[in-house]
Amino acid sequence: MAERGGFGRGFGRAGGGGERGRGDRGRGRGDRARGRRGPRREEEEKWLPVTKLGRLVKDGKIRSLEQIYLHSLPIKEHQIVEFFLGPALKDEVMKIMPVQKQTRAGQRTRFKAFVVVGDSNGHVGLGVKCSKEVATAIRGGIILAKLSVIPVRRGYWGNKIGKPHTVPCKVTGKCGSVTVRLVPAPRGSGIVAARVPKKVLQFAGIDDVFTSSRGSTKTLGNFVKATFECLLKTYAFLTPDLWKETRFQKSPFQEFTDFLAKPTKISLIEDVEKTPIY
Amino acid sequence: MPSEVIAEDYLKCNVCGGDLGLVAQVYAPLTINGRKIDQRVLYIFGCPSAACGISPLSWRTLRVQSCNDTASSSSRADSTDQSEGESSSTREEQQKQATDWWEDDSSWGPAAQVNAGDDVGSLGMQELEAALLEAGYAASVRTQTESSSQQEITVLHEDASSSGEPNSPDLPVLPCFYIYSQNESHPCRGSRAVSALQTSERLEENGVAVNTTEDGQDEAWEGEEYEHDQALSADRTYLKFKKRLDCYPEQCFRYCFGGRPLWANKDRGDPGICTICGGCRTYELQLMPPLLYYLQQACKDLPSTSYGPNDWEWLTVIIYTCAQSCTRAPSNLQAETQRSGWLVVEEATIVQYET
Repeated sequence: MAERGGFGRGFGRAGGGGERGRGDRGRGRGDRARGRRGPRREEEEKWLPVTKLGRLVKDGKIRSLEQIYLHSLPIKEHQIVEFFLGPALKDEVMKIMPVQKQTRAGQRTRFKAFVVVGDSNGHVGLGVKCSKEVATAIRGGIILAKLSVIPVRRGYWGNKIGKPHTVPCKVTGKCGSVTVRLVPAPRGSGIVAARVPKKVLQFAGIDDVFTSSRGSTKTLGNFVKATFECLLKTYAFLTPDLWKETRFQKSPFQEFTDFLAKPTKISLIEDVEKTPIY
Repeated sequence: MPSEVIAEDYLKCNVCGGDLGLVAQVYAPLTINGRKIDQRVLYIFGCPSAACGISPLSWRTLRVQSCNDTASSSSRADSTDQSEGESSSTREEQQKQATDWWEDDSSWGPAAQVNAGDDVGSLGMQELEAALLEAGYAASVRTQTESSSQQEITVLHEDASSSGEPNSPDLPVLPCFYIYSQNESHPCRGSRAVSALQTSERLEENGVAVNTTEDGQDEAWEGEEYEHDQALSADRTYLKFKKRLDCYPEQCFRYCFGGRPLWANKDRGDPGICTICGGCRTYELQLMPPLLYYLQQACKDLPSTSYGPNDWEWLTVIIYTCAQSCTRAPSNLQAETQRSGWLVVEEATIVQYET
């Protein structure tokens, strides 16, 4: 299946790089729009962690992405997300729009790329990047999207049979003048939304939902950001099954060092590690 | 250079009073105002005691410079006061080898023979340094500098932290690495332009409309404007920092006398003025996170003591030195510097953390 995109990089470098398994870290398969065959320096592919969290992740001290979310640790390196979600993380460019600025010498056009990444199983990220070239905007957008990956909480509409398939409750998000409201839907309804937020919801792993939007939804940026904001709120909403007292765990920073680095917020998301018990 | 020149309390941590560990030894000759300074070394110290290395006060940079321009070339600064915990005899032997290499400028020494704490640029890299220096000098003269005219040296691979002749066996010592340097090519140009073309062609194939005034569906999007980069937990300054790092993921040092540092977050420290001549300080070099990673990886194999770089968590350490690289010592040190011929000055160290 070497048509284009994803496998191009692996094939293009099979001779040069030997087997470095580059295809397995979320770069090969998921990235349809990024099949670069040009020469790219080998050393750019190595990941040397920059932040403390990155060093812990590289060492294998962190079990999963949910542990990072549990303690609300800021994720500052996109390689961390790639490390955990790996090949399951797919990305897609939703839209590329030219934005123009009037200068004395005419108009300067730059391209704005809206990229969504997700594994269709509870993790989604949204990235917006402006650049003079389309490919740079896309590449930058993918990195920004990976940096913004959030967990999405799913629940049931009625009977708690099978896997959660919809949002747990009605949530609403606002960005600019656009407000988006997500309403739980029965199984089989599908995602009832406009084309662009539908993509975001699909990548999040929500199967059925009703949406309602208000405001100037013609601004694509605000529309998708409002949807993203909704998804962010699914885990911020306190529902009765979360009433149980939180059992606090040690933050990875405290666990692996001898002193208290800086006080980490104890977050509301207690049961991110396992699906909420209904 | 004899080790007694450095005053004892330069080597003690400001915060905890313990001994500082030598993190980097950088041989950095300069040409300023037509004056060629060959004997100039920067020493960067950090405190490896537990819970102390975090504060910026426990980091110190010393500039050691020869006062006599006609000093013999064999008296290079090749020793510091750090000790070795183990294998002192082999270390001394390698130290001798190191001095031999320095005398012979053209020898690089293969990477395998390393471990003797060699400096950046001392092994036959004078031509690189010279190219850098012209640009650096020009930059410090002009008030406005364009980034294209400055060649920044990003030092790759691993860092150099050296240890010298043993004085007392309990001073902390950090693992040694070899370093080599190369010029940085700005990430905007180069191989990315080629790949950009190919990707946009691929996009056209996939049907993603690039120049959009009309859509397949009845959607009319409008009202988009330029947006600065933003992620959930990273601001624009940090994103630019990370982008430069990703181009050369193994860079441990960045060197450019008189250049602009790569900031990791918005709060710029205040470098202050030179303690000797009162002139302003300019940026000279900065340490980067891969250095921390390599040091910690090396230290985790050693038996754990309370001394170690495992507590260090900075994003970058930025060193500012006197713009004129002055040599005139103040009156209280005059006698001593004239006697020994070396000037030791403390320079500004700014540490930036993750927010």
